[in-house]
Amino acid sequence: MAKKMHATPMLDELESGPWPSFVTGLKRLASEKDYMVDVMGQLETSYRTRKGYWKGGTVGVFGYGGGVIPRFTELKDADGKPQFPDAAEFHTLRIMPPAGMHYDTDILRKFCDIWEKHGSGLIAFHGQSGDIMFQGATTAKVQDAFDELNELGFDLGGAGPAVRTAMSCVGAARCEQSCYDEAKAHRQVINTFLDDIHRPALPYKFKFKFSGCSNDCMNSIQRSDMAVIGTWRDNMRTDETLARKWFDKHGMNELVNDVINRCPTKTIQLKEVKDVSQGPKISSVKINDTQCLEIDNGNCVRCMHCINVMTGALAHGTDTGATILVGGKRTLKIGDLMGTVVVPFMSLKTEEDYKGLVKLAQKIIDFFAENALEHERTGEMIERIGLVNFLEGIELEVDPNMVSTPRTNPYVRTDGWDDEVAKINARKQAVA
Amino acid sequence: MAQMRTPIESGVPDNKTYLHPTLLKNYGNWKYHDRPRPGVLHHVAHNGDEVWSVRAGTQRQMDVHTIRKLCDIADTYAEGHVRFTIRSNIEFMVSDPNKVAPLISA
Repeated sequence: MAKKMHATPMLDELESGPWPSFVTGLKRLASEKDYMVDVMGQLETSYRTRKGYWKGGTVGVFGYGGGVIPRFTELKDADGKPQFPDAAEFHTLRIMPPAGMHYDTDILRKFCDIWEKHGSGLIAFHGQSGDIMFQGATTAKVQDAFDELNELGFDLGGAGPAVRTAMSCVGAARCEQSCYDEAKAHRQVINTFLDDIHRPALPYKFKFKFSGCSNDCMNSIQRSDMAVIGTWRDNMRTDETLARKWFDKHGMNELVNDVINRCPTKTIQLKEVKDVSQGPKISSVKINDTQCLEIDNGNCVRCMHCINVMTGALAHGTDTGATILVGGKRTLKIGDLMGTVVVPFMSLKTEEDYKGLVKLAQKIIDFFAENALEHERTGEMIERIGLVNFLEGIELEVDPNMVSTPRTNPYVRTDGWDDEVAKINARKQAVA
Repeated sequence: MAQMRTPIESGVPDNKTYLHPTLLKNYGNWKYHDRPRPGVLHHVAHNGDEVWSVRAGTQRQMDVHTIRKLCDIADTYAEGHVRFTIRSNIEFMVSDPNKVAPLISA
């Protein structure tokens, strides 16, 4: 080994500051592998000229069409020889992590051993797509590394115009706000579409994300084509012991300023115990011997703020499930889009419920595959053809809950009003 | 050309295999949490089980030596289980409050 290090003044600067730096890691690897010495040389060149010098290509593993991100150097001298010959190829393997990104140290050590042997020794936990990124391997080594990782029970993720690796939050494993089994939904849905992950054949990428509640730790509404966000449809639960404990510690100012005032729909009131209303949609909890919080659940918009502040004292209801939103994406053909509600509430408790979720996902992907243009995300397709046509395509009924910001939206069409009211009432009766 | 190995299309691995025993036992059965100090979460289950999660920033792109060092810390202080957050912090889960302070100083 012991190739001479290139001078890297700009990279060195990144080592300053209180947080750990990836440059320190690169240097450590470079002291063992010539490969990394040249990678650092190329990176420093990029920083100096403010240009990227990696280009794509075609590298894969046997049997799959995607999942490896090929990178070849573009820094070549006049004869077409790479300036940093040891770093001519620096491919990345995308590997799907377990749902919720839980690991034990045993498996992490095995990853390290495999990647030290076949690759550069640089691993990202995790890329923005939710994959473990094993960064830096030559074309010759990609297959060997994948075979060993695959034997451990890990599989390649998505790249290119395919269903992508999904992400789910920590969820039921360590969060009281989880409204469904995120890991189960994640695995059932994604493992149904493995063929679409491994053999890219869609118009463009399609991402799923699973968040257990509307805190949306996975940012699914912004970043996924189909977001599954936990919610509930009954009343909020309360716990007097925890409410009193919270109040003793935080006091009236914080209760008023941070909890009651910050409710976006003014659903929470502070009342004398004797004045508390009763009703099928009212939750209330004593905070001391004379005063109570009263919550009008009919006006709650599930913003989660009070639940986040008074954890346990206030909690989501027991009739839980998920809201499905479609069409979130980052900017491309048109600007950033947030997901649109297509299913306001879907119960997620039984095996049947989870099968229903998979079926809906299947319909949406089939429709996307048939109708989207090349390089067009689901959200852009919906903008182009109209939400009503999309809903018709996936066989969902239009529902008033799909209206965005219904409380502040001034646009109302009243033609055919009576007919529509009759339709909704008929549907409500059919359900009851 | 030699026979190529056909991939096993196993998809997303089950996280149950890798969960901390306390998390596995109380899966979907948590009651509330609080934050005893910055970077530490304390979750309590309905049956009274408690778990402390200590969060630490990582550089996301880590060399194998850094990962092994984090594994050593997890083995010594955190019962061998970790998870990563969406923003690439690492979380060490411990079921014993007395282990929290030594873990932070490690």
